[in-house]
Amino acid sequence: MISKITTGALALSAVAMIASAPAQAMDFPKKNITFLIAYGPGGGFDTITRKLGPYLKKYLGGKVNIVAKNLPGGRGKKAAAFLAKRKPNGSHILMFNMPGHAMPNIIGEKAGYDVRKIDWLGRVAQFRYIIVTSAKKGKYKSIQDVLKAKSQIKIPITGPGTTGYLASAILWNALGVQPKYITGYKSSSRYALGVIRGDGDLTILAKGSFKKYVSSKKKKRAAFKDLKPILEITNGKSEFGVPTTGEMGQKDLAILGGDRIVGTTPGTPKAIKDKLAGALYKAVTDPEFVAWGNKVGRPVAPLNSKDATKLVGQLYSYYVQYKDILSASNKKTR
Amino acid sequence: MFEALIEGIVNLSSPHSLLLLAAGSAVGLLFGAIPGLGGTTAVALLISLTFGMEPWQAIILMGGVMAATSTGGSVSAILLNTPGIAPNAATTFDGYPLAQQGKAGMAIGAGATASALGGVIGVISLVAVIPIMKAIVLLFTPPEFFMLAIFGLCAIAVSSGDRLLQGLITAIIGLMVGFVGYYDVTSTVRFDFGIPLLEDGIKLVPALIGLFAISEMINLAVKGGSISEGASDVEISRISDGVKSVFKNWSTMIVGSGYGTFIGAVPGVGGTVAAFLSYSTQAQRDPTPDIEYGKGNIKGVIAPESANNAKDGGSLIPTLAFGIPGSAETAVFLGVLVLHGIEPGQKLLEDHQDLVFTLVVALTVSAVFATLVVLALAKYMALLTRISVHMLIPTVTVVALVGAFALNTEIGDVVIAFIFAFIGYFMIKFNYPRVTFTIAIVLGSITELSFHQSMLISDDQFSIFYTRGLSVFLMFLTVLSLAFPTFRRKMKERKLAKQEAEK
Amino acid sequence: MRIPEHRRPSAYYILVILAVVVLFIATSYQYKITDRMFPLMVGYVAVPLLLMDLLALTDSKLGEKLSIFFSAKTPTEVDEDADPTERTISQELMIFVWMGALVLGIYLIGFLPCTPVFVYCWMKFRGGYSVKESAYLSIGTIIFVYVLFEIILQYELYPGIFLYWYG
Repeated sequence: MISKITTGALALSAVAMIASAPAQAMDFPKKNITFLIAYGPGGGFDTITRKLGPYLKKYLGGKVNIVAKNLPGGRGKKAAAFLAKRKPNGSHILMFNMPGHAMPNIIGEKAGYDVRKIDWLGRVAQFRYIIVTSAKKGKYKSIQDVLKAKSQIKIPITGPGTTGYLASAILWNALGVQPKYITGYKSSSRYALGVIRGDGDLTILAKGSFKKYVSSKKKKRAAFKDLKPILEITNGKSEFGVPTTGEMGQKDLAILGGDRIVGTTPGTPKAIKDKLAGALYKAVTDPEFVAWGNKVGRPVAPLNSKDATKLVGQLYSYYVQYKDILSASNKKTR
Repeated sequence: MFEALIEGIVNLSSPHSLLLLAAGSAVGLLFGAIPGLGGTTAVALLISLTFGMEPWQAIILMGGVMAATSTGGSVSAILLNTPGIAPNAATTFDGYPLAQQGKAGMAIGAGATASALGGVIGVISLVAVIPIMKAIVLLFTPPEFFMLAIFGLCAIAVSSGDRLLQGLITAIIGLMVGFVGYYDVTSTVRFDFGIPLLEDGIKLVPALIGLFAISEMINLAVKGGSISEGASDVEISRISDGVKSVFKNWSTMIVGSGYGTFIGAVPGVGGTVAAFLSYSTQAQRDPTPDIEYGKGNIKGVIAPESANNAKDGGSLIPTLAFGIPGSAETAVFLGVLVLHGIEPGQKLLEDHQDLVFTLVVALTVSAVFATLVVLALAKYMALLTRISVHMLIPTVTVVALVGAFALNTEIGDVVIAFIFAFIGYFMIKFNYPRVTFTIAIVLGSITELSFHQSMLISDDQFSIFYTRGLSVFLMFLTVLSLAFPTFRRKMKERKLAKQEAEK
Repeated sequence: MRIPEHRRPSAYYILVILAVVVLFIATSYQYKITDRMFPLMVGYVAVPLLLMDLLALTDSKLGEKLSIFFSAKTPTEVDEDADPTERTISQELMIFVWMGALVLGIYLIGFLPCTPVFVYCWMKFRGGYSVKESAYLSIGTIIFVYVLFEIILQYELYPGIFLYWYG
C-alpha cells in the first residue's frame, strides 16, 4: 500500500521534473564527468567503476573524460548525499550499492539523499547468494542437517543492518532457523575466512565471490577450497548441484542479493539522462567489458534506465517489510 | 620455485622494467615523505597508468612504490617530526631528537639502511612462508587477535619508562579516541555527538598529522630558532655513521624485521603496530642504554624502520594467499591485480609463480634503490633542519593540512588534524608520551572487536583465551613484557652500584 | 597538601582530561551493554589514574611515593626533566589564533587562496622577512601544492564551504 503511493509519487515527481526541464543540453557532455565511488580504493566498487569509466567515455563520444573519484564515508552515504546535492546537469554519477544504499531511507535515518528520487541510469552488475560451510570444520554437511540441527547454528557475518546480515536474517527467518550471529567482520572475505577457521558453522556469500575464491585449477592447499556450498538462493536450477530456496518453496527469497545501479542527481533533464543512460547501457554491454567481467568473476547484468528504476522500487518495497529487523539493530539505546 | 625466481629476475632486467621500477620507487619516496599522501594514494593514483600494461609490468611499478614509501616517510619523520605515513610515527621518537642535535644525516643514514635491510628480510620471509602461508593465516582467530592487541598495549605502555603513569593515561585517551564511530559488532555509531564525520571514526592519518607535524610546528613557533638550533655544523653529514650503526646493531634490525614480517602478516593490524612494537621491544631489550630512548638513540630509529619495511613482505602474505589485504596499501594493490585479471589466492601462488617472484624481486630492488637515493640526498635534506622556523612553519603547516584533506577529500579531517595538533602540543608541553596514545588509537578497536567476537564464538566462555596454543603463547609474551621493567630497574641498580664501586 | 605554583599548569591539564573522561563515561551510559562495556571499563580505569597523577604533583609524602612508584623519580627530579622552554600563555594563544585563522580560512574560502596568504603573512609579520622573500616562498608553496594535488593527483582541493555545496 505504502509502496504503491511512494512509487506513484515518484512517477509524478519524475514527470514534473521532466516537464519543467528546459530542452537544453543536446551538446552534453561538454565537461568531464565525475564517476563517484562511495567506498575507498581497492574494493569491488572501486575496481568496477574504474574499469567501466573508459567504456563510458567511448560511448559518450570520447571527447570528455570520466574521472573516477573515491568519496568514502558513512558506509557509502557520503558519496550518495554528495551526488544528490549536485546541480542536476549530469556532471556527477555514482554506482549505488543496493539494497545497502536504501537502508538509511528505509529506517528513516538522516541520509542526505533518497533512493526513490535518484535518477537511475541503469544497472551494471548484480550478485546473488549461496550458503557455504567449511568442508573440513563444518558440523553441517547439508541444508537438511542445518534444518534438523539441535544446537544453535553460528554464523560469522558483518554487523547488524548490513546487506549480508539482513539477507541472512531474512533467509533463516523464512526457513524457521534461529541462528546466533557472530558479527563484526569487516567484509565478506573476512567472514568467509572465519568459516574456514572454524569461528562459526556457515555463512552467506555472494556467488561470484565464492567462485572467485575457489576457481583454482589445482587441487592442493587452497584455503578457500574448504568452502562448500550447501544451499543456493535462486528460483532457477542450482549451479553447484545443491538444493535451492525455490525448491524449498521460498520463491520470495530470490530477490536477496546485491545490485550495482548507476544513478545521477535527481532532477537531471531528460535529454541528459537519456544520453547518459544510453551510453551506460552500451558500455556495460561492450563485449570487451563483458569479457573482463566474466574473467574476474564479476559478470555484468545490464538493465536499462526504466527497468533499473522499476527494480529500485521493488527492492524498496521488499526490504521495507523488514523495517523492524533493520531498525532494531540500529537503535543506539537499550 | 627456482625457475620462477629466475623468470622474476628476467622480467625485471629489461631497461623498460628498470625504468618502471625506478619511477615507482621515486613516486613512493615522494609520496611517503609528504604526510597524508602515503603508499595507498600512490598505488591508487598509478592504477590508471597500468591499464595498458602487462600484468607483470604493473606489478613491477606497484612493487616499486610499495617498497619505497616507508623509506620516504622516515625522512620527514626524522627531519620534521612528521611521520610521512602512519608507521613512521615510531621513528619520530628518536629520529627527531637526533635531528635536533644536528645528527639528521646519521639518523637518515641509519633509517634508510635499516629500511633496505628490513625490506629484504621481509621479502625473504615472504618467500620462505609461501608453502605454509595457509597455516599461518588460519592460526589467527578472534581470541588470538585479542591477545595480540593486549600484548601490544602492555608492551607499549611499559616502554614509556619513567613516564609510566602518564603513558597509561594517554593510552586510555587513545583507546577512547579509538571507540569513536561505527562499531562493527553491533553496527552502532558511538561517541559521534551527531557529527556525520565522526560516524566513520577518527581517521588515523589526519590525527597523526595533527599530533606530530602541526603540533611540532606550534611548538617550534613558541620556541623559535631552527630545528637543530645550537647543534654544530660538523655533525650534519655523518651519514656513513648511520649506515654503520645499523650493522653494529644488527640484532636490533633483525628483531625489528621479524616484528614487521610477523605482525604485517596479520590482517588488520599492520605496519603501525609492528613499528611501535619493534620500538618498544628495543627499548625493553636494552635496559641500560647509553642514550635514553626518546632522546636520540640511534637504535630507536633502526628498530621501527626495519620493521616498517619488513611489513611490506609480511602484509603480502595474506594478500597473495587469500586475497585478504594485510594493509590499506595492499588492499589497493589487490585491486590492481583484479583489474589485470589476476585472482589472488592459492591460484596465483601455484599458477603464476613467475608473477609472485617478479613482485618479490621488484620489492627487493626497490627497497635498496630507494635507500640509495635517500642516502645520496641525505646531506641536502638534512639542511632542512637548519632553515629558520619562520620559513618552515607556514609551509609545513599548509602542506600538512592539504595532506590531511587529501586522504579522503574531507574538510572535516582538516579540523581533526587541527584538534589533534592542540592535543599533541599539550602532550609535548606537559611531557605526556605520544607513543602510547598513537598505538592505543590503532589497537583499541581491535581489542574490543576481537573480545566480543571471541565471546560470541565461545558462548561467553572465557576459556577460549587460555585453551588455544597461540593465544597462550601471546599471553606469556604479555606477562614477560610486564615483568621487563622490574628487570630493567634491577639492571640499572646493578650498573649504578658498579659505578659506585669503581669510584 | 597543596600543588606548588610551578606545577599548577600541569594540574589544570589533568583536570581538563578528567572532565573529558567524565563526559565520556556519561555518554557511554546511553549505549547498549555490548557497546558501553569497553568504554566504561576504560573510563573507570582512567579516573583513578588521573587522580594519582594529580596527587603526584602535590608536595605531600603520598605524592612523592606515587611519583617514585611510577617513575622511580621524586617530583623534584621530574621537574628537572621537564622541557625547559619558556612558554607564556599569551605567546601560545597568539599561535593558536594564527593556526585557527588558517583552518577557518580554509573552511570558508578553501586551500588555494589561504595557502599563499598564510605563508606570506607568517613570514612577513612573524618572521620579519622582506616582502620579496615572503612573496617568493608563498608563491613557491602554492605552485607546489597546486601542481602536485590539483594537476598531478587530480584532487579537487577544497574550494571553501560555499563553492563546495553550491559550485
